[in-house]
Amino acid sequence: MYRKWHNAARMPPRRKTSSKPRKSRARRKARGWRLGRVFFLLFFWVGLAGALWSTWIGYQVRQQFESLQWALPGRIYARPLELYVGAHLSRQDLLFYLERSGYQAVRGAPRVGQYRDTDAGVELHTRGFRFWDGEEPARALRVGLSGQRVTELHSSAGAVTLARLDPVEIAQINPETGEDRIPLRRDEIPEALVQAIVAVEDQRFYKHYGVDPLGIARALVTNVLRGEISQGGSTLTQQLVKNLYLTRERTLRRKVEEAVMAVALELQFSKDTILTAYINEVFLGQEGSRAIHGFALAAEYYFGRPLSELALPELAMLAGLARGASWYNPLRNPERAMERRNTVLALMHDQGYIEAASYQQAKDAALGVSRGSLATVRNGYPAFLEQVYQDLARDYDRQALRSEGLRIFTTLDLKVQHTLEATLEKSVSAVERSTRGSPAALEAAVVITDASTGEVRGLAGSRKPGYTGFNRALHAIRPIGSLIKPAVYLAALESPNLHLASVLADESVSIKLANGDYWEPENYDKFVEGDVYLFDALQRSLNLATVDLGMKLGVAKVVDMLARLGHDKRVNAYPSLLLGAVEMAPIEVAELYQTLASNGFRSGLRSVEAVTSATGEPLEYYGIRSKQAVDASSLFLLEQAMYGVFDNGTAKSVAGKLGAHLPLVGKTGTTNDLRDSWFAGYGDDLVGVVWLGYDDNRSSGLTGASGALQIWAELMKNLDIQPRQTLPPADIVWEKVPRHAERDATWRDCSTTRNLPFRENTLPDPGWFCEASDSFFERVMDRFQ
Amino acid sequence: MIKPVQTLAVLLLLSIVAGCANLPGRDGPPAPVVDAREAPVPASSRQPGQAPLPELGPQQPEPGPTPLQRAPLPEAGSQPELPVDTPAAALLDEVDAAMEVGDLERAAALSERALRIAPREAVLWHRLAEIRYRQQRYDEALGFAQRAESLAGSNARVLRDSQRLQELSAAAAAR
Repeated sequence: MYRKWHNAARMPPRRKTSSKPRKSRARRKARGWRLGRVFFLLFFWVGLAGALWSTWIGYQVRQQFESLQWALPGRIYARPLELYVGAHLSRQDLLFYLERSGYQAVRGAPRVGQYRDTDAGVELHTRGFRFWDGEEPARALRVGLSGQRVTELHSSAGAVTLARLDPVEIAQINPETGEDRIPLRRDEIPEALVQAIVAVEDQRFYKHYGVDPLGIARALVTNVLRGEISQGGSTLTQQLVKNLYLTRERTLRRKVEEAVMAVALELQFSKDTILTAYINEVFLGQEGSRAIHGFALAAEYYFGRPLSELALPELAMLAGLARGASWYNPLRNPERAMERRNTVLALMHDQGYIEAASYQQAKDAALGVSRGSLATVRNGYPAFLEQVYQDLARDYDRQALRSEGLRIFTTLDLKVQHTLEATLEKSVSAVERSTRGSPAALEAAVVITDASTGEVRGLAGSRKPGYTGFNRALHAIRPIGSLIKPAVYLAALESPNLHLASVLADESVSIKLANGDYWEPENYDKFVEGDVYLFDALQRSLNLATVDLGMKLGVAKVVDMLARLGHDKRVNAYPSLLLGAVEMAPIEVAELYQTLASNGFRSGLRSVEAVTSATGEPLEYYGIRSKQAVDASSLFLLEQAMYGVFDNGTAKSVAGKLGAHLPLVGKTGTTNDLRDSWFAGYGDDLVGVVWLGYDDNRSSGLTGASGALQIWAELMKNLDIQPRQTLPPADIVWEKVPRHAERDATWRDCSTTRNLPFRENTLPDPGWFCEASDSFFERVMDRFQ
Repeated sequence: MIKPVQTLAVLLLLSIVAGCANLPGRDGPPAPVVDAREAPVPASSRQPGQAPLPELGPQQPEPGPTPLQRAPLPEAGSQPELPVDTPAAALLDEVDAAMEVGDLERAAALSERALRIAPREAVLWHRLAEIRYRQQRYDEALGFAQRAESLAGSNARVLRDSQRLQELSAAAAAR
């Protein structure tokens, strides 16, 4: 100003202003002052406004960043694999679990998350996991296997009694945003990943204050020299601010906002905090409607392994993705991804993070991407998951499941589920061929539960694995036919005057109903058998003998038995109930048979075992329930009778196939016009219910024995079901009875007998048994004397 | 007079500083990532140990020999309840340790884990019954004790203890 003023003074007047030179100079001076004041005021107000705006932005950034809470999807896990000597597990099963859990097969000694399959056994290094009931450490194990059993379990410290693998994640309940991530703490982030990110995205990250003019210049130079856009000018902090708070528009105003916010963030939070937020926030891929955010999830998504287990080249590839997850997508554009990874490695080497040797080695490594088991297995069990959601809905609202990162531990046994899926389609096709060709497909539903605890181990809502439509296991409500008979016979066996050798009349019958109609049931084969033993009538599923028994007993007793076994719905006490005129979904049938399988203790079915918070804090545990529904002796008698279903009853067609697995307990069910084909049964470890039929209720052309039983047998053989071994209760005694049922003691023929169990206090007259009595000839002679 | 360019620069600088002047330093707020992992507990869920769990049955509020202390727990030096070095035995030790410190829900979960491995071990069902009894869940205690009895076979101790626990549970449930 001084110089200007001075110059102006020395300047010759341009115009002769003779009249008022003094006055005009004064006016000019005044005008200068006024202009200065205007400018000053302008600067002042603009500055003040800027200051207020920046304060406001700084305040907002701080508020928002502090309360930053990512909506975390609920995570659903399958049941973890337990390892111990004697465990029911083949080598193939173990390898299957390891692959599903994303363990990497290696040739050398396994590190965490790796395994080696050797002649001596399987060596693996478990990952460790925080379960509801305690922490499972990561450790190196050697598992010896022989046939279907674990024979050895060792760590370097010696024999191990019990170990378990980390559970396989089978689904997520994603937030409404579609964003999915696994947030990490700073100390969980591999250093090599930090170096790779800093090297490629913002090499002066630790030196700048949120914006980095030098970085922009450097990036420009690098890009020009390399002839490609390998580096960007905006800092990690700016990128984080942009991702978190700003829209994608590219305006000057947004650029300024971004810079001010980045500086504000840097002034208030540490570099580590900002870096950690960046690593958890950044978008790294898209799978359908699910957005992959953060490096931890990206590691699982692209490599099927946790971030902590990735090697340098893999980390470098992920770091390279941040620039353009779609452009560098290694699944779709492997070459581009490889090039990008090598650029990252080169920058790491240039900046001194890695030695020449490891640079060379990493550069030559394969991309190693595997849309591994972890990713493909996700949400692959829609039928089972529907049951899980139903169970969870009792205690958790949808929002909590979507956003709070809850960990849900389910009862699903992956081995059972996969055997089920591998068996079902094939065996359904096999029985379908034998029916008259029909355009619509025969459908199926299967429920498999744990025989002792009622935990659902596997579920199929369709013959097609992964089918997301109508879930027949839960919703196909059909008449159950003869599946009801065990309830009828069990109610009978509880009564003091009935036992396995009670003689029933398998004869035509006409029963007058309340509405005046007559009910005239028939046997399936239309024949009548005359007098039959109670056990025989059950094994051969004789309708008329069952009606005889049920009418003597009273239908109300059967209704009561159904309720005790676990059927909570109202059931009408019509006589036709005795032959299964009650509708149930397969899962409801499974509930009844599960009570039988757990020796008369009602457990209910469960698909969720426990729920923990995102950090593993226990929230809810859904324990085993156990309420005695039936006394052990009645049930023992029922089971003894039902073993015969496989030996010489309706299921004898599969006795050969199941040879080594017998004895088993089971029952066929067929409904009118062959609409539904059922089989329900159990061994020592598993309960299985199979339904076959058409969705439109037309005839399947299959009986329980020709349809569902065949599938059940194939499935249970593949699952290596354990034979039923029920200890006889103290009050059980065994007695010989004539082979053929005969009401009149005189005509009983003890030349051929069979051994049957009885409850001591329900024993018929001792003279009734074969051992105590004389020979048939003697008795006949006695009679004539 | 003040130069406008300098003024603008100073004001901008001031404004940025002002934007942060009222705030604490870098080591103030915690990293948001940690916040994000700590999911709030749904209102409907119950933290184990939040509600005071009774150590003993309600009929014995004062310390002293309780039916459970008298009856089922094995004495030191007595023969082990389960074959040693089996997974069920190892878990049973953990169950007992958890019961000792009053962590009954965890004890129950550990019993169940053992039961999945050895579902016919009467001792495990009995232990679950004891846990539920101590939690005053008498109906469940009764059911588990009955199940223990049904599987006890020739194990006279479990037979006796489970029958006694059934009586206690039934009596307590009736009150």
